[in-house]
Amino acid sequence: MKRCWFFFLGVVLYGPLALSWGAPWWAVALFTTIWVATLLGCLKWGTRTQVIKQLPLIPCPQTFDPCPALNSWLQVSGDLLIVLPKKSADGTILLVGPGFERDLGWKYQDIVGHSWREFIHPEDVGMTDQTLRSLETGLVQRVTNRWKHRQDQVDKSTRWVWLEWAFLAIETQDYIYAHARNLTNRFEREAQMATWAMITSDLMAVSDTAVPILERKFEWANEAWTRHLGWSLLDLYGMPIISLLEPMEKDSVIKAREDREQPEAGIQEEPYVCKIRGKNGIYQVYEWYAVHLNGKLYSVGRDIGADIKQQGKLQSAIADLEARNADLEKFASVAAHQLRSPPRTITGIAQALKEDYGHLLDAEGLQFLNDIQDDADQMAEIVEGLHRFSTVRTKDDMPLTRVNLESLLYDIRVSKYRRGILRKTDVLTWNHLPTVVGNRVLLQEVFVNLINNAVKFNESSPKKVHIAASPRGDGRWDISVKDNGIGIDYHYHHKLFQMFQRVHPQYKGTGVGLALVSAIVDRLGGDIRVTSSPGQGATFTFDLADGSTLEPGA
Amino acid sequence: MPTTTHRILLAEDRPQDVRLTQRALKKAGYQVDLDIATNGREALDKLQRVNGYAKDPKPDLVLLDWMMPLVDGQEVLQEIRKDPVLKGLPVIVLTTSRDERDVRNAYDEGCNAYLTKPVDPEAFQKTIDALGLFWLKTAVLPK
Repeated sequence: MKRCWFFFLGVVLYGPLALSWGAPWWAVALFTTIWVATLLGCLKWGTRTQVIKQLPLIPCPQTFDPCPALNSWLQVSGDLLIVLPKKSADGTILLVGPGFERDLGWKYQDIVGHSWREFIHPEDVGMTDQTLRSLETGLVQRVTNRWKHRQDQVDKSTRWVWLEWAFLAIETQDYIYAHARNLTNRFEREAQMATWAMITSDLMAVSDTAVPILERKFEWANEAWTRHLGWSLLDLYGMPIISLLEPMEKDSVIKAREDREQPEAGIQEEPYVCKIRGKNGIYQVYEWYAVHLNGKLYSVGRDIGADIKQQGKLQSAIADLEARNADLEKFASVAAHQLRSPPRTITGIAQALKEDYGHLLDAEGLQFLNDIQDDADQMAEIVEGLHRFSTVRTKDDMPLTRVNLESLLYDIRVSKYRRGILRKTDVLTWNHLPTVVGNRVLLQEVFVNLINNAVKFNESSPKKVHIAASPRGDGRWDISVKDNGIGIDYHYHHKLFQMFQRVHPQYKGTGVGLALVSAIVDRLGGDIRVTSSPGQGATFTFDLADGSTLEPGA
Repeated sequence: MPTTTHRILLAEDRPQDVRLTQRALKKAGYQVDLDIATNGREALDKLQRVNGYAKDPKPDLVLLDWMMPLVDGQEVLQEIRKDPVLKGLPVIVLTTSRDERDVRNAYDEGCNAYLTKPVDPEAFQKTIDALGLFWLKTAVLPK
């Protein structure tokens, strides 16, 4: 603008000088006309395209001291600043702050001299234009629109950033000052939240904790309410929340909410379970998690109907199994009872026959009677073994206590010698046996069976059985029962612990003993294994938990 | 030795068992008048003298099997102990069951002794011998 005034001054001074030098009047008039036209053009051009090439933004009067400092701040500011001409239809940008380069990649020269319309999302141009046109001086006007990111120029991808603008036009200046905040992060986060809320199958709701629980309404709810329960969001807004509760549960749920909103309750609540009514009147079960924050209650309800159904199924399956187990136990016990009588009476009757009518029979007839008795005896043993086996498997009143193996073995040894199972020449020894966790009755069954076998399948003289213990290092002991008997072929080892498997058919037996031992060891949390080969004796090893740290009374 | 005839009610559902018990008692040399009830209901009827057993004399001793059809030994024992006339009657449980729950229940219900029937015939004979020696020869029973 200043240059225009120099033109004007030049014309004013040039006229009188030229006349005084004797120039013809028409020549002076012609020149003056040209000068005036040029001057007018200069003025018009100045208002249209004059660009403030560089900062400072604010023309600083010498008397306004903070101004240079303010300009320095603007230079370093990351804010998005723009100056537009107040009266310009195309919206040429006169000046931008450095934030545009930092935030959006646009250099100063990319923007200055261009119209803002080139950068704004086409859908937002109209609204922005209207705002700019209707600006009142001295009043801040806001508008939010999308601004093109420079990325767009680099890889042809379309990226927009959300900017919230504040425009201010000043009475005394021809400029509009514009400041923008980049809301993209917040908008994206909000968009993500909204998307999650829309697609999740959990019910989400926001309500106001300042409102009493009985009158509390939905302030916001997500689409899951529609998908799961059939409520439209319009139905929900304004509806008292408690109207969705199951009448029987209502009081307890209200109580649960009241407890959770006590001042001492944390912002993150213990979950609680309640039913919610669907639009069709059918209730579904949800587990509610909630946070109350700044007077709002944010709740999320997880549909646990399927879980409950699953649990119900599981529970009924367990109950079913328990009932079947009880039936089996009853069956085993009754069967053992019922099966005990026949072999007993058979041997009794055979004995009676032998005694009362034996004189009528020849040797073969007596042998038949003996065979009857032998088989009945065998049957009685099997029944007895089965009964004990079923007892070990099913009986639950066998508490685990400390069992001192040395004292147990001492009692067993006394009984074995007394009953003649061990002859005087046989040797049953042990060294340093620990106290273990077990049950005396069960462990007695284990040792009696193993010792009986060690003596039974044994042709040595003297028969030797040795019991030893070694710590495994994991709080359990390996207990081994070693004999000098006939041994067991490797091929049959896997059959040893199976019910009714007899690997030495030439000896009397039922095939129940080791199955029983294995079942007991299993019940005590251990495993049993055997090392043996024919003629080399056998060693049965099983593990038991150390009992030295167990309370004596436990 | 003066011999007294004792009247014993044997409640036992298996005739084979009845015969073996009868034989063992005979073999032991005790003079007994053995009355048989083949189930718990019949045993109670005989003891309470109802349903056609009005003329049955009261036994001195009851030998009671624990597992019987219709009414089992436990129920018979409960009824006997509840009955003001019968409550003092000596009842000896004679059964194959060695189940400790049965033993405990039998004593809880007030049996006087619990005997198991061994598989071995000789051991069974010994049991009956001992039973007779104590309950028929030694113990004084209520009239």
